[in-house]
Amino acid sequence: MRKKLLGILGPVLLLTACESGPSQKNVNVGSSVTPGTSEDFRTNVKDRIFFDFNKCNITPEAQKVLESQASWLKTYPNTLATVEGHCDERGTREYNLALGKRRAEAVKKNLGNVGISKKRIKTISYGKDKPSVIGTGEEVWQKNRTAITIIN
Amino acid sequence: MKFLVYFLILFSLHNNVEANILNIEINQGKYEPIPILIMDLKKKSPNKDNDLLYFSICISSTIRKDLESSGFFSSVLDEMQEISKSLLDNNDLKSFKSTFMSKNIKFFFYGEITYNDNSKIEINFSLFDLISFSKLSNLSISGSKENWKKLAHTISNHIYKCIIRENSYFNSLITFIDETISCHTGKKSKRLCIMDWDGYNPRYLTNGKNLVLTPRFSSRKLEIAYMSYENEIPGIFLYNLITKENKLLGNFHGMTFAPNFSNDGNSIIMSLEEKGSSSIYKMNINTKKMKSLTSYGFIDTSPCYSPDDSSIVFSSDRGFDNNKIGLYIMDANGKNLRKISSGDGKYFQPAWSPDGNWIAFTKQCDSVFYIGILRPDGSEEKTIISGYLVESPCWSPNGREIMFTMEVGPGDKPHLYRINLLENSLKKINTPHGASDGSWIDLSNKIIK
Repeated sequence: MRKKLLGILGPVLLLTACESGPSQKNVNVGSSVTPGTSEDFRTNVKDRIFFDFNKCNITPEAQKVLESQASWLKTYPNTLATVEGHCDERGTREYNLALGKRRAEAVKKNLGNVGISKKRIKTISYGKDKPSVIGTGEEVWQKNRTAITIIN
Repeated sequence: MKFLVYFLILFSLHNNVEANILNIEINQGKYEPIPILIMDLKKKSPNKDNDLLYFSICISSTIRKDLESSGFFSSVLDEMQEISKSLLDNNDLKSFKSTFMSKNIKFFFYGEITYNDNSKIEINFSLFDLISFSKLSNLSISGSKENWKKLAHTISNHIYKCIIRENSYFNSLITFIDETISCHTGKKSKRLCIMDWDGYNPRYLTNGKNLVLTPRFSSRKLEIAYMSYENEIPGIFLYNLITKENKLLGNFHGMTFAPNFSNDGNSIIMSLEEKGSSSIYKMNINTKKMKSLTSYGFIDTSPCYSPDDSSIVFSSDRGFDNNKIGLYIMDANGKNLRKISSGDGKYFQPAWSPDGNWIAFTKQCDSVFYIGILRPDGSEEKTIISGYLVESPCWSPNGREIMFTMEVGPGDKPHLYRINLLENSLKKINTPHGASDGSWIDLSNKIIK
């Protein structure tokens, strides 16, 4: 029991001790999910950022999300991640494959800038062919212009 | 299934038909189809085989559908069949003239069907010109029963060529991505599919387990290049229709996509992605040697060779304004790069016409999509069709039509359509389910086993 507690509390204590990390900490120690797993990441961290139409630049809002992702990744330094780049359906097939990849690469670069080794991040694009949300209209399209980080 | 076709062509041409063969009059942009009567093939007695009757009806029906679907012909109604049968039986060709003239019929096809000594279907047919009142041709062809449809398409092509004086596409294959949606999960399943151009005999080449996209036929071999997510790094595969072999084109460090063959069959051009930049590469299919054709730093994609393989057209975002995506042409070695598109909007997916005179493309302007064509120097840009979503234009083998993918409105499944550029008719292509990313190849000089 003690070991388990240490396992959960230990990394949190380390984080609080380390001043250089970002202020927001999204690790929820009360959760029943095993820490350091992809489920833990999905439950406790925002796994995706969104883009404007035909754009691949990281907005300030997205920046915050990526910083919390980086924080989690630093907490569990042995984890690897894949970033999926996606586009909405209002574009052509081949160009959207390339744009989706650009979005994923932008995330990888950004995570690299906040200290996550590029060797830990793979990227892949699905263009417009694997939308998270099925449907039409700007509300749906906006949700599909995304880069999703998945812990391997 | 075995498809082996043996042609015995006994050709005799009766009469030189004078200048009156065909005058296509374009009156205010509306083209009048040529009325033609296609008779059901007559069973040659004493043959009593019932399946010959079946073939007779199927073959004649296919010929009617082929000619009508080209947009250049209208097949005359069945009411003429009975009249014509009795006229033919009485060998009363002179009476034809007045009967047909009253119905404005211009051409008349009739023939006999039987089994020859080798148990092959044999068809002896004639095409009669009612304008000059002379026989245009009298031919015999034969083939195996399984290949009855190819026989029908060969006859249709012969009729089309005699009258329109160019090749048709009636003996051709289409490859595309078949799309089905699961009722439970709403998830799309995509499979690589091929079928005859008229929707006959669709067959699946992949099982839907992995996402597959953008198939393209080779112009030389019966081979399809397409993109698959089968491996960790999504990339281009080659599927051989004869050997059924499916192999990865090569091992690359980045995603490869948007494949297209050279017309001499020796090369594939594609996009290769690296850290957010997609550049055009050319691979020699035999030596597997890769050559970079465009520089790093942009999205360069959808490359397409000119018919003589001397140039490549592609879509790129390398313009000054990052919102502008345009069409660019370069020599096949990557030199002499210049922009050819000049309008407002973004230009994608260029496709060079078989005669080299036009480049079809997808254009996106605000929230509307267009299929258009322009000259290789960028001039004479015209819109062919616009819609909620239209993309992936592809020329018919004879250059008369453009096939493309269309979603009619929000929530609609994509389907393949084709449009005749001369007489402007839009037709939906008959696919089993939703369909996208079509590629079209002529089969006349190819044999599928």
